[in-house]
Amino acid sequence: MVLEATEMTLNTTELLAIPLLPLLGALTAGLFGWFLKERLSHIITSGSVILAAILSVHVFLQVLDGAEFYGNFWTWIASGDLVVQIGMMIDPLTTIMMMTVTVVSACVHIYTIGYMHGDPGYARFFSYISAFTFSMLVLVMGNSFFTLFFGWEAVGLFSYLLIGFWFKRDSANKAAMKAFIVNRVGDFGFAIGILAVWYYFGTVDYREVFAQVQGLVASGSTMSFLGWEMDTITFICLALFVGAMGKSGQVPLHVWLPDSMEGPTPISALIHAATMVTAGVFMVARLSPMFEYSEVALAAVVIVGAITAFMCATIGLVQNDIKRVIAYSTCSQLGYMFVACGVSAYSAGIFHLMTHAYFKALLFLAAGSVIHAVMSNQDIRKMGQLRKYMPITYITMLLAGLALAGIPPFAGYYSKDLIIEATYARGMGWTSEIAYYALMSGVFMTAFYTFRMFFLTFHNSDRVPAATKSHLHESPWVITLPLVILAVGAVVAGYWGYHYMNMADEVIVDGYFRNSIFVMDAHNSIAMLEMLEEDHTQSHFWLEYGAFVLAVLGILTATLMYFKETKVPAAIAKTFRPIHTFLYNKWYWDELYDFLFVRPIQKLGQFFWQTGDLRLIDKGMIHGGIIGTVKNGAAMLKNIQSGMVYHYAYAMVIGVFGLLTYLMLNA
Amino acid sequence: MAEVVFPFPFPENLELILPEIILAVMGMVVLLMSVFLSVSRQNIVAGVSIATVIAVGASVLYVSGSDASTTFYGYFVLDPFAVYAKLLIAIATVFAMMLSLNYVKDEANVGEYYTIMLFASLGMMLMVSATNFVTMYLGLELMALSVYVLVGYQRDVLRSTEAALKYFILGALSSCMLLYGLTFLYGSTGSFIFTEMGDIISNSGEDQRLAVLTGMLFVLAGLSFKVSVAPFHMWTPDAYEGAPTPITAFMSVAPKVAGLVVFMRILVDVFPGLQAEYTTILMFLAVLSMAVGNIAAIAQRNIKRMLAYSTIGHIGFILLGLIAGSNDGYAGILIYMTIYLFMTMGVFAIIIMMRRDEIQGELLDDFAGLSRVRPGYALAMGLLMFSMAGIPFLGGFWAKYAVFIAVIEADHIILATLGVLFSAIGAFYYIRIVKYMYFDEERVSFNFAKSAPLQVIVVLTTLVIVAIGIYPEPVMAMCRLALAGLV
Amino acid sequence: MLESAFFWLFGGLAVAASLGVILSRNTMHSVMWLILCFFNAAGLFFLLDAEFLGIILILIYVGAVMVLFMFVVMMLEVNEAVKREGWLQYLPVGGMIAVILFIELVAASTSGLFGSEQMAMAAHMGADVNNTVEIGKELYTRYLLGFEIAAIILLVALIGAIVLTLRERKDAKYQNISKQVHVRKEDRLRKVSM
Repeated sequence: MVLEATEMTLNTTELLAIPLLPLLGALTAGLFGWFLKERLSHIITSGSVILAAILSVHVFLQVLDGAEFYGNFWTWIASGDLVVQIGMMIDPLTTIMMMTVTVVSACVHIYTIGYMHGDPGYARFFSYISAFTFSMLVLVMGNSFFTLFFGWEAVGLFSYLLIGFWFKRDSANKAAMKAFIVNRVGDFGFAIGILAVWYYFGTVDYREVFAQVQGLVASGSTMSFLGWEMDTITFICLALFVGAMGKSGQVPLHVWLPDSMEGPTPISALIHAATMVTAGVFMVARLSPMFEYSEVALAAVVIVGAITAFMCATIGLVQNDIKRVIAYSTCSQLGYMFVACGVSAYSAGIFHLMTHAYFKALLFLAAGSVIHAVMSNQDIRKMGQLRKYMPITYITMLLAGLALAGIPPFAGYYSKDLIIEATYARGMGWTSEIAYYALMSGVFMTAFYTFRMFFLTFHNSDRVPAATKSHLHESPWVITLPLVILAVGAVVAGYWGYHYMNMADEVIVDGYFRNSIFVMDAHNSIAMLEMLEEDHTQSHFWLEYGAFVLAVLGILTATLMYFKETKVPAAIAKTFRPIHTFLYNKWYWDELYDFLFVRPIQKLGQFFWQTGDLRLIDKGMIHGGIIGTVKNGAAMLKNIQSGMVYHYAYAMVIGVFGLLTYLMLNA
Repeated sequence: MAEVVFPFPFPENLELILPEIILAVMGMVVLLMSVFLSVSRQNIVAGVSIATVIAVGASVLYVSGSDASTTFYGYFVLDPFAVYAKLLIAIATVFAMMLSLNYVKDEANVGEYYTIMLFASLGMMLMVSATNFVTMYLGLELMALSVYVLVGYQRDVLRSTEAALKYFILGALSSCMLLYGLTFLYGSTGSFIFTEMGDIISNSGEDQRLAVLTGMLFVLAGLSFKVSVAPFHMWTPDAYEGAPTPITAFMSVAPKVAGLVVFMRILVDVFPGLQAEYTTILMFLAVLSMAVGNIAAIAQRNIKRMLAYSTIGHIGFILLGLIAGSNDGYAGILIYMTIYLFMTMGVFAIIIMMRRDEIQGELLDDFAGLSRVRPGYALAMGLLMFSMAGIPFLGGFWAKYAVFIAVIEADHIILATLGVLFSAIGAFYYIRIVKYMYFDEERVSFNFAKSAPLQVIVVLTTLVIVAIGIYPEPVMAMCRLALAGLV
Repeated sequence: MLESAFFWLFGGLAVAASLGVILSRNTMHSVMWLILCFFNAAGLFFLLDAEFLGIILILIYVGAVMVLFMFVVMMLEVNEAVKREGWLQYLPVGGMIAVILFIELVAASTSGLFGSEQMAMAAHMGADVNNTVEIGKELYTRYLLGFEIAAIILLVALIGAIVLTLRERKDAKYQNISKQVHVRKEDRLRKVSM
């Protein structure tokens, strides 16, 4: 499948400016932060990101009118067969990502001015988030697997740096390392996938690869991986999807995401909710021309997504850390997006990605505002009745909560409902059926934990410690302004995307996404859904309103249990103690990994260190073997270098003699 | 008496030699200027010299646009290859002169110093434009003689004089070898012109083989001396250590560029028929150079000596490009030389800056704790060292990458493996300096020379190395383009 | 036949003289041997009808260069070279290398075009061929570039020799004219209030 070259092209300078502006800001703040001080640092970085956001919107509007861009700017290196070019591919899929990334990033930048005020690493923080924005833009705007990989690794790096931003905190360092290592597992698969692409297609350019996919599939190419014979395309897609699982926090690689909340809250909003973690979803959608040809890979995407959506929602039910609740919700919602991609409703997945970015970033930022007010306490058991003190935060968080729960007409309703209905309609057999029920139960739980957290924070009884009480106040405008901006997004993004942008057209090409997403006719779940709904021979009440009913039920349950202080939650926890403990301990994933990997690897490491490194290499080889030889050789050469001219001349003569003799003997 | 008939008309296209004419004339002008200027105003001489070399660089570019490419009856050529090499030489000379500004200020005879540097670069430029052994040899001797004098310039410093004397005597020996080899080649072919000799040698029969091979071996040995290939490298550490540091920087780059260019021209033009034989010789030389350079450097305490061995090691890597014998290989050599130029100049600029009142910051221990006193210079030095070691993504990585890939594509896998192995050993002593700077306590107090030209060089070279590291394609493309004249 | 005899005479003496240069202990003797060697080389040039080169060799090398050498040797007063110690330890390897190298070089120089059967005596030019003119024609046209470079090499040698050796004596009194001209009243006069 080749994307046709379009007549309307975009201004390349403008396109280049969008990623380069944040980079420039990052470099300026990073290198000269000591000189610029707080004020200039945030003006430069926020200014450049806001400008990038404005340009992104401009590009978005042009692309809406049919403009597209595809081209290479530089040949980074051309050496023999290896030609790596750096270029961009701008189409509707890209622009929706660009706009989401830059707008949320701009809001987070502004928010950070208030949130990080007075922190010793102020300029560094701005430098990192701007650099992160740059990396994310490279990831989405690139036109090859190479740029994808570069952006992928770069966002991982900045995520690591930002999680461990307060590097004096032990838990932050551990969380950063956990994120990095778990992501490494994913990235390993990702790298294998890309290498496989290069091996089989001989190029890493999206268009050239996509053009060859059909040929590869038709040729019936298979390969053997660890003795497991499978289609080449399936192998590539699965390997790439492993990378997506790591980056997007899907089971079983989800364990790093909740821990990443050790980072400052703006980071949780920007990186671990709105943008970076959605890179996996974006990647699957971007590579839809490849995934579409592998039923196995699609099924894997559905199953992983569904399990994550369900499991993380259950964990979210009982968590007490305000950010962790939202973090598990993020994992769960990412599961929804993957299910959407798996049932070939990529447009729905991306649609949900966009709406989710707004309301989830808002939730985090509002949570940050709360945390800011209660002096860095994140335990919702020590909050309550905060609505009196912080009305703007209260209202915006309510809106975000409604959007997340999927109550019309807020953003989440449109996108999430669409995913669920498409999953129902797709009919992949047992996979999509399981996914449907997982998602439906997820809806109830989402509504429940969102409002549990909400009520415990803003209503219920006042459990704020006395020492904190005097400090309670509404946050300054730099914090509330981004909340308001994002609240607008959380309210209208769904309606706007569904009705005006036509993101969910059953014929993708006619809708917003045009050619940027490829769906086989046989997989087109949204079209199937449309057909199903036109079939008036049976009732569609449950299909159309089921999710809504469950959401309302979830909210109602939460209201009953948590709006006022009741004894119900404690009673339930007591009755179902095993389940509660199980959920409270996050299904024991960390303990499982600790048992399966961490400890054995530590032991192995200990072994390598003590026996291998210290005894074998240091003692055995360094002081006796290789290094000894090298050092002896060095000493010997030093002796030869006697300083005597005739020794030097002698060496030259011997050299000539040896070579001449060799030549004579061989001539 | 019969009327004298000249066999050749007046040479055409003389403008091609404009850069050399500027150098020669300005060399003499600078010499006279220094006589007339009072001692306190000798820095004008330095300024004029630097301006001259910059003008020479510009004129090289200017005349490279000319339609013609040869003059002096084909004895002088200005092809893209020569143009690129001349630019490298000009850059190296400018850098070396800037490094000298502070260094030789206190020495006597400043004017002659710059004059001789100008003549040295004149010799190199003639070498790279040579199409025959006469021009090549004369250019080589002009360069060599100038460098001998420069090495011994601090005539009151014992080790400087000693170094110059050693270099001179061994240099004479190497010249003898070169000339001895030439007699064999001339005797076999009756010509001094590279391409003519190449044709004759390629078509010559078995009976001449022995003489030609002997001649080739001696010529290669003589040239190897100039570019410090083991086992003809023995002078290098002593001369590097004894020479004034800016001259060390100069002679570790510019003569190497000129020598390697001649190497490439001779191998491609004169000995295409003996590729199998010279490849074997070069393999031996390359492995020995890599081994000697990288291993012996570990035992050094003096950074100038260490860099001398580092040069030998680098030359060993560069020879891999010659062994590959392909376009990629030759391009790899040019890339390597370009990047090596900037790395070396940057490192020497930092070393010169560390010269304190009487002591020169030449010992490795002097770098201990540098990061705490001068974090900026420590960072630059660290980057340059990592680049020398070939750590991605810095310039030095691509330099090694280019020659290794070429030699792998030429199916010399074992050589490439050895190369990687030796560069791993080499990484040890480069990175050791980083360790000194960042992990050791300061041992002696620092008193950095405050000199704008030095700072400019440090910043510039570091930036170039980082920029090439991130985006190597322009340089690579340039080097491939420059090869048009060679093959 | 006579030519042949002279060739062997000059050639043989040149080789013998060269051996004398490196083997004699006395530096003065070495220089004398070298002069003999140059004379014989000049003789070989004469045999080849290259009388200009032969005369130049005698005039410049014997007449100028070697005389300079002698002066230097006399001024340095190194009559006996220091007894070479420990040369025996180099003898086995060195001697072997020398012998093998010699054999190899003989093999190379008697092969192919160099073989005596192929090296026929060059025909003599007529008396009207002026070999000074012929050299001039080549030197100032085809080898003009080389000629110019040689000139610059000599210049560098000149400068280098002066730079490395010329010393102004510290105790000698010089006039510094520039300093004298630029001197100001304040530098020399001082008002002393009495």
